[in-house]
Amino acid sequence: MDKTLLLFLFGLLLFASPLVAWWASPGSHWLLPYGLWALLIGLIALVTHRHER
Amino acid sequence: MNAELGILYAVGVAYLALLFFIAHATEKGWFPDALVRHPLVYALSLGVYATSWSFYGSVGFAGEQGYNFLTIYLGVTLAFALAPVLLAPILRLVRDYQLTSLADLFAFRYRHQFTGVLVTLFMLAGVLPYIALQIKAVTESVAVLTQEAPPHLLALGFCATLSLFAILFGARHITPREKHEGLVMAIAFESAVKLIALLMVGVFALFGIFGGPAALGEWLLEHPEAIEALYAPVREGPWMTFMLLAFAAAFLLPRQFHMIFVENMEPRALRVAAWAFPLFLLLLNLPIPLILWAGQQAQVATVPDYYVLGLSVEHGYGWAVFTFIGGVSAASAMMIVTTLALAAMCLNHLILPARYQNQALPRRNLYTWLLWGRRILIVLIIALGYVFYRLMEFHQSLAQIGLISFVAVAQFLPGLMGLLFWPRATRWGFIAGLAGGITVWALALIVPLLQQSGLMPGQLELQAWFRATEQNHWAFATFWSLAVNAVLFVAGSLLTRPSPEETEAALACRREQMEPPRGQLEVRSVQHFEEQLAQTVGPQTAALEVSRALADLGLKSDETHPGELRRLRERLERNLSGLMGPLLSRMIVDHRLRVDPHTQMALAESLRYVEEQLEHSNVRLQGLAAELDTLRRYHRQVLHELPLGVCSLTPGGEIIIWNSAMGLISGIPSRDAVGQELRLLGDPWHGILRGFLQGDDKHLYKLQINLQGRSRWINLHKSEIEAPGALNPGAVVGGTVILVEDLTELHTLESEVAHNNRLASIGRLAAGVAHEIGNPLTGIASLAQNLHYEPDESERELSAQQILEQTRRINNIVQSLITFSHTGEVPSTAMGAVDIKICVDEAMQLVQLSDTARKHLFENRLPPGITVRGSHQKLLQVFVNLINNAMQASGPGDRIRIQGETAAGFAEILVEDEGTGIPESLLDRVFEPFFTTKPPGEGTGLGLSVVYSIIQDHGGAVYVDNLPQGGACFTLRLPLSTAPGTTPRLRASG
Repeated sequence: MDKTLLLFLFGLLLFASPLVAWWASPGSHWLLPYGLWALLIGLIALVTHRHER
Repeated sequence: MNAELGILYAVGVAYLALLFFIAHATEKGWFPDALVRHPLVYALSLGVYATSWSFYGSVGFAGEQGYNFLTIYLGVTLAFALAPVLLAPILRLVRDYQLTSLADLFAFRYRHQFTGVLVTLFMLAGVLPYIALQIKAVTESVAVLTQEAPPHLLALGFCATLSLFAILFGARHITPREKHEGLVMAIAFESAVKLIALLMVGVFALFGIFGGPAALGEWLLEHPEAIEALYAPVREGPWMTFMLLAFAAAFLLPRQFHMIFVENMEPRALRVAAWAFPLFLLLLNLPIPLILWAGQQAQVATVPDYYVLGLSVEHGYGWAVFTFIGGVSAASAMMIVTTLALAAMCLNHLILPARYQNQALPRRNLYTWLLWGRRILIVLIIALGYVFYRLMEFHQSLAQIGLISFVAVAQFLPGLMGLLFWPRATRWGFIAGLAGGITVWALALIVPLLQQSGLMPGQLELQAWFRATEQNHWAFATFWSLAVNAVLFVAGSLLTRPSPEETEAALACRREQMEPPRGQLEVRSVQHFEEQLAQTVGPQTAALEVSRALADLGLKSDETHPGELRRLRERLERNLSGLMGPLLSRMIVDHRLRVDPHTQMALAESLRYVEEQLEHSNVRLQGLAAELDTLRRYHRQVLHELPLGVCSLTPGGEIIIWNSAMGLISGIPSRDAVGQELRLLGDPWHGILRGFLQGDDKHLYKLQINLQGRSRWINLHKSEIEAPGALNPGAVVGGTVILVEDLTELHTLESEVAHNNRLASIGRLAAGVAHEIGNPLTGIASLAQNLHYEPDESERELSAQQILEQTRRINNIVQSLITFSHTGEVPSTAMGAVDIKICVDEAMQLVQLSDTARKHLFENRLPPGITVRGSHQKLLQVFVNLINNAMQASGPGDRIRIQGETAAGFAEILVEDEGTGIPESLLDRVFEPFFTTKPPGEGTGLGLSVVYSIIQDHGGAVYVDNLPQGGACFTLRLPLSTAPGTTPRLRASG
């Protein structure tokens, strides 16, 4: 439960905070949002997998 | 319809037929179960989220809004990151209470007919633009391929075909509520097809248009504005708004709710879907920028919404048709699943309540009626979507039409948060909030759409009132609709009080429900259940539903246990909820399977209910409550594992506790006994326990009972329980706790020990016996020899009599030995009156056979005629053991005296010696088995314990004390055979 909420907050930090303006600044690689998205998915999988065990 | 159009139509229908074949094959079991129920199949089926908006419209959306298009999927990812706290509780509710739609969920929580009606109507209105969007996408994609304006008949034909397939997928079976494994498999396949199609277009864009990653890199270096066009809207546009809308749409859109919760076959699959579904969305969106840039680079002659198709045409017609299939796939899956979900809502919340007149539904065949109702609704909903498509003149892009629906479903967010996290929320708050949100949504988004289409005169400029610009159009509509909704929801909830039904539902949603339901069922048998239900749903449906509920619970049709019938009622309500919604189901069950509110629920059921709630409660107990719960579990476990039968009963005879040892002793499992009335246990246990409860004795020892032809011995103890406090007000608590000790093994062991003890005694007597028998034999031999020479007849006569006398003496010795060494149980029926004096004489005679006995003097001072009820053989052993014990403690020449008297129905017999006595500290231990003061190897320590055991068996008592003048005195108290209350002890059979 706690890890889930932490993960959600991390997702908010990446995609729903002023940090968005940082990674969306001019000059960023076009794949950067996908990379951050993949990172979040990886963390979800990790938390889920640990919970399963 | 030209030839090209005909081919495309045929390909589309063939593809839908393939999907149907997959669904059919799944339901027929042609695919392995491991595949059908694989979590990845479930995760792929959630890909129904990606409609033609995603397939075609994402490129156009990216063209307009840059990377803002990703929000539609990032919002979903965030929602799935919260799966354990947000989605899992909804899934549990949907599964536990067999809810089939969002309207069911809200009607279950905010219990009111109007709740379901409002949610259904709004969902219908909110999703119609989305359905129209799919029709628009398919017809326009055909136009891109054929380079002609599509005929109106095409859209109509597409709708008619989809209606047919929607019925085939979801309304083919007679029981419409069963899960559609085939649908899940087909939608998963459909998701895979559109992913492959889009990835292939992306690969073509990368290698076919740009010439590979390196060339793309160079192109991007030459055109830095291409990347900037993606990032700039993120910094300026409604990023947050779209994220919020997508977060809500992820599980509140009808198709999402249906696939995530209603069609879920394995709750654990949700955990896999939490990462696998966002991964699917990521892969689906990876080629979008590539396709956008490739379309711009290749100057594809379509609007960006259809670059996916335009690029495929550049690659070749075959590719284009495959891409078209991907688009048809996305649109058809959305329409099929959405109409199935909406049809269920309309049926449960619009049609059935209207048809539920005079507390009865169509009785002839309810299932067929429901099935046809669903089929007609599917056709009607798709027809409505078609009408909406025809009436509206869409000037917006695909994404903008879709967003209208997203804002609509976001209106359910406040109500859902209340459902999950705020028990104080009321139905009036929910209705007020939703109505407010709908009004703002309609004014901000629907009215402008109608005005643009010329269906509404005038120019309502709601945004202008609030000085909102075109740029923050979506933020404006989302913020104000949700703000009005949430404020009214909170205010309405605080200003009104939740009804008892709402409170109950709120607690069920939070799994906080602790108070057991009140009252007892008026129906007392399964047959009665069927008769009652048949009055509302017809005999056929009633019989099927009752047998289904019985099978779900593993109960038999002759079940009469009040607790089980209560569970059956609950299960029926849940099953009927899956068929006709939670409100109607509750109404039917409340009306037909009444509970008498003036009676109390059985205490055992209350206890079981509270325990179940504690086990499954969502609320984590903290502090003292958590400690108390741990203590409760510990006590319960101790009671359960106790190697002693424990049975507690209410004053009314209802069994509350029946632990596992009790189950082993009685052969009646705890599950069957708890909650039953004692009288329903049947004999022997009903007789044994009732007799013991009614008697004055607090303890009953060595009770012999007959279970399945085998004798068993038990001890019973009882104690009154003081009321610890009522679980529900007025409930009767207190009662009696009975402990049952199984002594069978101990009894067997004791019998063996006693027998061994007897054999040991015989061994010790052997020399004496030889001597005692040898003397008369010598006498007999001499008399017999002299007999021949005896001339006198009278002398011969005298010798013969002496021979007979000696023979009788031998016979007496032999008979005593036989009696003493007799093995086996003496049944209570073989017990009779025993003359104590004769018994003691016989014991002395036996003991005197040994050499050591010659050193002592024996006195039997018992008056003649004292008779006790018992076993002669066992009492003989008692006296042999006591005299032997006295001899071992006495010195040569000491007296061993036995005397006695009668008093108050008992014979009191004293066995005294003049020996050393027993040390005070050992007086309490002399009757313990294997206790001896002799050196190892010289005594077994069993003699006195056997005495104790036999006297206990006879309902008597034995004490020991030291005499003032020296020596020990054993006192036996045995009931006289003529005394009242000495009837054979309680003996049961079974």
